[in-house]
Amino acid sequence: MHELSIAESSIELLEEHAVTHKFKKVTKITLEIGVLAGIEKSALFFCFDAAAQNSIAEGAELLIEDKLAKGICRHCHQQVTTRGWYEPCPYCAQLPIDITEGEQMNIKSLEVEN
Amino acid sequence: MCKVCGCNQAEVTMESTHAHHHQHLDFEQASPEVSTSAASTSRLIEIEQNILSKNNYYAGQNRQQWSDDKIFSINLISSPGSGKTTLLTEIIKRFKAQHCIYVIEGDQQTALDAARIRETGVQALQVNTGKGCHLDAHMVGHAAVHLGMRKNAFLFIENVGNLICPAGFDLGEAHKVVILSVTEGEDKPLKYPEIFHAADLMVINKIDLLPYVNFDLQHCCAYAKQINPEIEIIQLSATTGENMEQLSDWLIAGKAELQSGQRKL
Repeated sequence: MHELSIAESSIELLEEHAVTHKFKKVTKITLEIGVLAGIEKSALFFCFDAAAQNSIAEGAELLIEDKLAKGICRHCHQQVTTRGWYEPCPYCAQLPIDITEGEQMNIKSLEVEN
Repeated sequence: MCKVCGCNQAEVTMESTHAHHHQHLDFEQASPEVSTSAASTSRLIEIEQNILSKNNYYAGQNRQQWSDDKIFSINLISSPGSGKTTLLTEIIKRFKAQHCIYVIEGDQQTALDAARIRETGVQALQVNTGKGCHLDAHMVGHAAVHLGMRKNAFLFIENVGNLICPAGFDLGEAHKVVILSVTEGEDKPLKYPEIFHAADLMVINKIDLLPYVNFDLQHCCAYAKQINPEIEIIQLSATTGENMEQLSDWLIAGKAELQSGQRKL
């Protein structure tokens, strides 16, 4: 259940941004999560609601944008997009693919009220 | 609330009652690029900030400190019951005459593992994560300060028994080592790919039990290599001592590399 830590870390960052950017309430938060980040979305939705209670993000809408992973095929050197750690290259059907992107978990944007 | 320094670390407790050594690291984060639209009460703020930026900041601090002090740090990760603590006590028995060793033990509850380690005569500190399913860089940084480590030491961090959650949390360690025992399924690398991708070494433990279980070593190694072609693999039994020297050699070589400055953490 590291999704709870992820939710709590997000809320903590929101509280800091509330001071920096002078807002009192978050109504919507958009996260960008790579498909290889090891995040179970349903668990994150569940944990976010729990973690947001009594915070500036209580009741906020959570949006999660999936980001496909990218990598370079070690055999044909094509850049490919993938959804898993061990999917074969779509061009030459070989393994492995050196993953270059897909583990990110970012707060992308917030909708806030003063 | 963290009981060491009062920082915001929910439900984490650490053994030991001695004075507060903690030098709290103010989290200096570069202000992310921010653009604000609309002047009404409702506005959009674009942030683009890594959710784990704080953990990664603390991990960076740990890594710098350990690199400066030539402390070779290993993050041991496995399912519960794979034999992490036994493996660790066996390593300590082999190393303690020549090397300075420290251990940070992570579990949800109890200080049993730290007590087991201390029986071997080395300094160990238990971190209880409460509801938490993994150690993070902040807790480990605190624990390291409490240990008051001497330079040129080994630091073993035994993570909470869990193959999923610890994978994403950098502690500042030199290497993640994943341990799998032959009483588990050989397909674990495929089932829990993140940790096998993040680890530099896979230890297959309890090989003395191979005649009694249906564990396909070859398949297991092939699956791990499929997820992480660079992963090194050592098959051993901490109980009988078979192949333990391979792990000892791997650790000694890694530490020598760190000390010679060949390896940048």
